[in-house]
Amino acid sequence: MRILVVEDEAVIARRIVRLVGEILGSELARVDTCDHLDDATIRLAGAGFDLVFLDLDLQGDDGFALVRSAVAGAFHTIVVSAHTDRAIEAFELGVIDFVPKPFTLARMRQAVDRARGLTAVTQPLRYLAVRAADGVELIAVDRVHHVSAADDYAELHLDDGTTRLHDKSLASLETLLPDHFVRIHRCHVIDLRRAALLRAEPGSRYALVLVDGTELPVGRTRVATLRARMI
Amino acid sequence: MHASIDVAATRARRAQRAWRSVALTVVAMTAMACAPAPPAGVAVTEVRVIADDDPRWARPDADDRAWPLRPITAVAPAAPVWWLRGRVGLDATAIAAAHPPGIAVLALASCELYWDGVRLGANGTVSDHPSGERPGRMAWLIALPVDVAAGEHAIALRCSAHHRGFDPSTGFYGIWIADHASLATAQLAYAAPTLMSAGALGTVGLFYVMTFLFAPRPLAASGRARGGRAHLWLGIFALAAAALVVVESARAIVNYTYDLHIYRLIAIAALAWLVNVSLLGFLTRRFALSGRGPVLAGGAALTTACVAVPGFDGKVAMMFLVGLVVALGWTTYALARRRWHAGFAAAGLVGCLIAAGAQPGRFLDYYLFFMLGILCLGLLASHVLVEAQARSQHEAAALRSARLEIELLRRQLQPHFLMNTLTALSEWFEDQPAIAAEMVQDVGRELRLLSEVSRHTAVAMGTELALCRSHLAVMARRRDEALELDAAGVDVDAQIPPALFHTLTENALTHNAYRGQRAVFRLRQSIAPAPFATRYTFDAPLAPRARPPAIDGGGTGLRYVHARLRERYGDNYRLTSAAHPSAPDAAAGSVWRTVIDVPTAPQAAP
Repeated sequence: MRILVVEDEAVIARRIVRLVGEILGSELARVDTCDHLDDATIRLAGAGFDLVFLDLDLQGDDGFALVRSAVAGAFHTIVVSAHTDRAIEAFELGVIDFVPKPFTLARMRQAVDRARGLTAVTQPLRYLAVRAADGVELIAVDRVHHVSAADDYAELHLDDGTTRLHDKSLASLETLLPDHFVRIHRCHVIDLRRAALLRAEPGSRYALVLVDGTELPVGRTRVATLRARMI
Repeated sequence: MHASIDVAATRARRAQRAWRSVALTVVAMTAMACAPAPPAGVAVTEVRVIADDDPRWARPDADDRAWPLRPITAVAPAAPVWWLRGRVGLDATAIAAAHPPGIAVLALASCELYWDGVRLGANGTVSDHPSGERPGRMAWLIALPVDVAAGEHAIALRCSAHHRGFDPSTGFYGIWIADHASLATAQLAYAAPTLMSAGALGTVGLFYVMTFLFAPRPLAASGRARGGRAHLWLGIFALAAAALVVVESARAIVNYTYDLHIYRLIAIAALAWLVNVSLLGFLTRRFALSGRGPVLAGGAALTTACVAVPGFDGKVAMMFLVGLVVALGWTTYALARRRWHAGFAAAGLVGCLIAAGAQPGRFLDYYLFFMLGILCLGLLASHVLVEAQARSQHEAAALRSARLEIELLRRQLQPHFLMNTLTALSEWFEDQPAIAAEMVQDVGRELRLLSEVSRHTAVAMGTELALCRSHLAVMARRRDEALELDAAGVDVDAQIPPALFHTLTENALTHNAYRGQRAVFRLRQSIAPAPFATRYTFDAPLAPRARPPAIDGGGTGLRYVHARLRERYGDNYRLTSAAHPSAPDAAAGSVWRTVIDVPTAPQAAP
């Protein structure tokens, strides 16, 4: 696992690195640190990390612009901050966890486990940050009809018929999306509230018809779960 | 917002109270001014003074035509023992009104009274030699025969006056014939309103002297030291005015022998001097403008010079004229300098000049109390309004100070400082416990110092430097940086607003990552260009990649610094803050330089 720690206080950065090292052990492939907003912006724009630890206060600059940029990335973002009053805002933007300072090894392990998909995320996600030509576009989760896999990315289908490409994989995004988003196929996650009809088709295949008429295939192994959720 | 509304409402309530008190006092003074007149009845206005001690002058038919006739108030001793003869016509109406009849003599002399040749009595003992004379009382009342008939009557007085002690412009004030009871009460009735005003003035005087002596410091002195002295001056003025009115009225209350009159006149002159000097003292202190010292000294000298004016009445009148004119000049100057509350004092001064000018003859005897009342009203109104304004400002300042104290403490409790410190501590506790223990000491020292300085509006520079160094020690550990403060040559006893340089240090650290480099903060003290006295130059090193502005240009930190400076020095300070190529003695690198000029020398209080 490749980790980036964005923290301007040397001792705290050292602590994050030490604790993450203890948690991941040999799984930890690489750790980089940076203490400056400009450095962090450049580093986050490039790929190469699986998990980013982000401080919200870098030399007096508000790190939230950085959060918006980070959550649009393919990697998961964990905010490590003293500003607990902004935790909800961070979760709404799609961070996988918010670790308040000061923190213990146990709390850090919980955050890393969430990022690794070992623990469910129960915090509310209200927006999905998508990289756009002029920065980051925040898309309300309520506008997302369904999400489809597109190689290493995820394609968001919105209620106005348009689509957006998200840097995160479908699996990665699924860990963040609220409960009413259900995986119905290897390539599709839908908003269950928009499901209209589960239809059996010839050849033991199933299709889900959404309220706007969109038809999506349903994986055989997922039919029973989907049916149970739809009742 | 709420605070400003409260302050405005309080100010309005106080102004209303002040106006109400002034209005009530005006009504009371006006009622007193409608007071009465000198004794009623028939007065002897002209007399003949005979420089010859011969018993025949007692007889009504003695031929005194060779002796000049003159007004009774122009009578002066013509011989060791002299006679004074006058005639009074009483008609039936006058006799009916004056029943039982009496005769009152007001004079600076011992005398024997003869009514139509009959000796009625003596006031003291008349003698041709001082040792033989027993001084008579100033006011002498004696009964006339109850069967006094209508027609012309002869009054003869055998007089001596060896114990006056001075040469008065007049030795006789009057002879009146009226009913005995009226004459007995006339003096007191005449003095009653003036004594009432003396009570009011004395109360005001006592209140302000007590306020000066015993009121809590914020009310009487402290930062409002000028207001405190004004309390004292106003108290002295009102007490002296009360005493002056009482001494003026003393003749009616204590019927003293005429030889004591000189002491009363000396007391009146001394009190008049004190009234005028304390008036100037009050006004120059209340409306403290440049030149007040010379004006007070000059006014006092001029008032003192009035002692040279002949006659006690002349001295006192001239003292009041000089005092009032100088006082009016000062209040006019204060008005010109936009001290609008001086308008009330000016109105009081003009009012009493008019009162004095309207009745110059009776000014000292009767209108003095009225004049002093008007004057005291004007002074009180000015004083109360200025005090109300000062108190509002004081309350607003106290509120600002409380907010600044909270702001300073909150800054140390803000999550960024506190939680990052605790996180760093967690790391050391687990990794290097010895450093953790030292860090706890550093944080404890900083919080202790902050708690100490936040309560004050000024602290010793030594304490401020200790606070800065504590903060640098904590931050150096947290950031793994070498942070130092060089304050060579700075006077550690100088009094400065709290956490000024601590805030600037904190700002610099927030905006600059020194990345393990040695960062030296420099504080220098020098003589500031006029009109300031002391200059503090604070250089914070700029990190190579600091984001502009590297140090908070107008954020909460600098606002706090401005607020603290304003709290202590008003607008009388200067602060500039800008990037500077390099410190003169720094090896390299640019700095963010903050220059603070303050009006006081390091050891002086503002």
